[in-house]
Amino acid sequence: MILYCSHCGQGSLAARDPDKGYICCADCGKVLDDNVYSEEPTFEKTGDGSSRLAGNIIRSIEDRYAESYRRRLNRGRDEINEIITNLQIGGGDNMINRALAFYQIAVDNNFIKGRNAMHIAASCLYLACRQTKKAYLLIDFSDYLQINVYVLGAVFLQLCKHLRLWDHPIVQKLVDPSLFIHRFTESLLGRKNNAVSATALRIVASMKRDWMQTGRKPSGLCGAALYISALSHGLSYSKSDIVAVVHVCEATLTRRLMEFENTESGCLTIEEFLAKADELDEESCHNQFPRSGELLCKHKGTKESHFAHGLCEKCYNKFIKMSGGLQGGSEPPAFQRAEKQRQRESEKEGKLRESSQLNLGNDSSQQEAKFCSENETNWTGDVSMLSQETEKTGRQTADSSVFDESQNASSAPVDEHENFSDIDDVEVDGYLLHNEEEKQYKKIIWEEMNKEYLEEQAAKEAAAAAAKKAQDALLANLSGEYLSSEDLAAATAAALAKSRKERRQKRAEEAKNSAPAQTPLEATYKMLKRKTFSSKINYKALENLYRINEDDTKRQRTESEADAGIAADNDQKDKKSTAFDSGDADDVHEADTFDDIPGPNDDGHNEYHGNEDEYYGNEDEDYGYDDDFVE
Amino acid sequence: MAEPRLEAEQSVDLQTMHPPGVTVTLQNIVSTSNLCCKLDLKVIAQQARNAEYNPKRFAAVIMRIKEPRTTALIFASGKTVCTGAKSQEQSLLASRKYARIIQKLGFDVSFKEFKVQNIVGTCDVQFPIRLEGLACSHNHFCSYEPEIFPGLIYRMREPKTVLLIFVSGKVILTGSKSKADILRAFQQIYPVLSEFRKVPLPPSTQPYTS
Repeated sequence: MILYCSHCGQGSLAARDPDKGYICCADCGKVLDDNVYSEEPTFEKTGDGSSRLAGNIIRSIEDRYAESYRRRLNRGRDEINEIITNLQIGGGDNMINRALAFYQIAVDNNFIKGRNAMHIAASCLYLACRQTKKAYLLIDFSDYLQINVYVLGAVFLQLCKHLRLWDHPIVQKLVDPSLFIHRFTESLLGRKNNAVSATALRIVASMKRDWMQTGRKPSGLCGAALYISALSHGLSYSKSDIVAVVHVCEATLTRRLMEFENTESGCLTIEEFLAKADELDEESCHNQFPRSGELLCKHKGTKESHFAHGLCEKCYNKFIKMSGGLQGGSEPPAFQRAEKQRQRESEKEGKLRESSQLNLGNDSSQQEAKFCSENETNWTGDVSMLSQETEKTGRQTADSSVFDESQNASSAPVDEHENFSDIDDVEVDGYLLHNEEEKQYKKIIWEEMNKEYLEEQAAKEAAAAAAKKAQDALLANLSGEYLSSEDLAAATAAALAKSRKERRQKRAEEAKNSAPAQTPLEATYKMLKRKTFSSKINYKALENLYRINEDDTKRQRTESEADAGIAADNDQKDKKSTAFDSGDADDVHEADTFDDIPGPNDDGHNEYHGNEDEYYGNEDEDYGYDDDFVE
Repeated sequence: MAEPRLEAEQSVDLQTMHPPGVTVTLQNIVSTSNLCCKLDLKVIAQQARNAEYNPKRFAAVIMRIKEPRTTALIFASGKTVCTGAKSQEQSLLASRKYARIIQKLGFDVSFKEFKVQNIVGTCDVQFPIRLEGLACSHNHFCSYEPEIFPGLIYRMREPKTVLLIFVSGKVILTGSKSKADILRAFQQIYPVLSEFRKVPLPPSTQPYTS
């Protein structure tokens, strides 16, 4: 082992002494490290006869994660393995390791909590498949897991977000339907058939050019392409066979086939189609010339020059291959539907306009104005239309200025009782029940419907009342001071039960407002309110502490008493009790007790109290040495 | 891009102009307000016609009014959320109506802190868009997963808006807090979309017709 030796001034071989356990430089003999590390804890006797742990506990990185972490990872590995074997994904150990790497990061980022582990394993595996360009779809995984593909999709997207893969090519690279053809062909036919696959690929390319692919799941297109291709080669497979392989429903498959039929290529015979496909393939390569513009693709900042559409040449070619380009082809089906709807609406308006032209001129312009505000049709070169547009935008600006005014009005100082003079009282009245009978009925109905809730509430209140009664009965016999300490203990318990945020806010407020504490009781109360130790305090013992104190106020509190009174949590408590001891009982000021304890985020400029909050902010989590003691 | 037109609100240069008729329609406004007094939800639920209150499911009264057609969530702390209005003025009016209703039920309300939290708008650019191209070139902002959702999700940073872009040319804009922001986002995205619009084949390279 090579360690840096300050005497030699360089890295040198280090030797470990077997007896004493120290490490020294092999060249000059300087002792570099003389700590003894052992797995077993050893104890030594202290001056007063008690035993103490020899040395300190050092946590190594692996230790920190204990058994449960390793178990979690192993289970993840098993799950991933299961999915791989069931879906027959190739790649063996490589795939498992990749997926497991993602899984490990997910575990580290606390992504597993609250989510189904199988879902996450599947998402990690899908990510690995994308990385290695294996042709598997999300729907394959969701099919195996028997869950909704969108649920799995949501998990997958969240995983990408947590792993910061949002911009990474794995996720950004679009999934090309052509990847899947070979796999689907194999599953359908039981063996590889290159002819069928090749035709299917051409059909998919043609679909891309005809804008059928954008926005659609790849499975549907592949299914349709495969169906046609198989038929064209004389193999007759029914739609249900295809559906079983491709994981779409028959209705979708039929729809894709119809859409394909509607395109230009759909009307050709298979030979014509293949010939055309070859031609178009060649053409698409020659069509584009470099144009000027800003480079936006992932090669931004490198020396690549802009080719077209913000892409460098490489990206542009990939884009054309993936999507079928921007030129020509039929309109996407969604667009066709939108066009049809627009046509229908313009026809309707045309008819109405004709009929309205029989009326006076005023009316027709009014109706036109109405149509303008309702529809978004593209009226080109219509002068009247232009004037109405400006009118509409004029109205809009007027509206927005009215809105601004009203906003200002509401923010201006208004008296406590708002008069909603602008609101129609009659209408508002209509929304309220006035009839006593109606109110009675509604009350009965509501109580009937929410019976369980009301019962629960009643039970809770009864329990609270009973507890209070018991308390009162107990307290009736005891002295005043004890009562106050009980109250304080109860009050602290109540305060601790509230949310952290509220506590923090309260703390900040009270820290500002509070005067120094007068009695130890008050000091403890304030301290406990601020520093919440929650589970680490034995409240009963705390009460005992003060009861003993009241009996003998002059008696010094010893460390052992403080220890006996307060359970667990050693080091922190030591500091606290020493703090108590150091300050005199009567004039303990919170500031004094903690001055000597620097927070890790010690910032001299911060206000004192803000500092403490940071130091003690993560109450139960950060003090590693606590766990030891609890164990 | 047809004839140049200056809109009353913003003047934009010729290159980013869009044809008349292509405007953003607001579909939904979500706003919050504070009635500044503690409310007894049971009383409200039992004395108002248009209120529903199911404490086991959700801790607020759900109230609806017909004009403007909106729904409000009214919490016991006095804070309210109003959804469903089609314009900011309508949202303000509706919130005030809800406050008036609560006032009539006997609570000492004062209508404060009205704020529009979210505006949803739609528009149609009327040409097909190649989403793959957009995803390739603007990949830092886009998320396009056809297996999961047919539209492309474009997260614009300035103004902070999310746009859902579909191949048919329809665009949904959401996430802005003001109408000006939505319009600005649309102005910014329009040239990007027209970059990837479908263009007809130049006639010289037209193959034989079927």
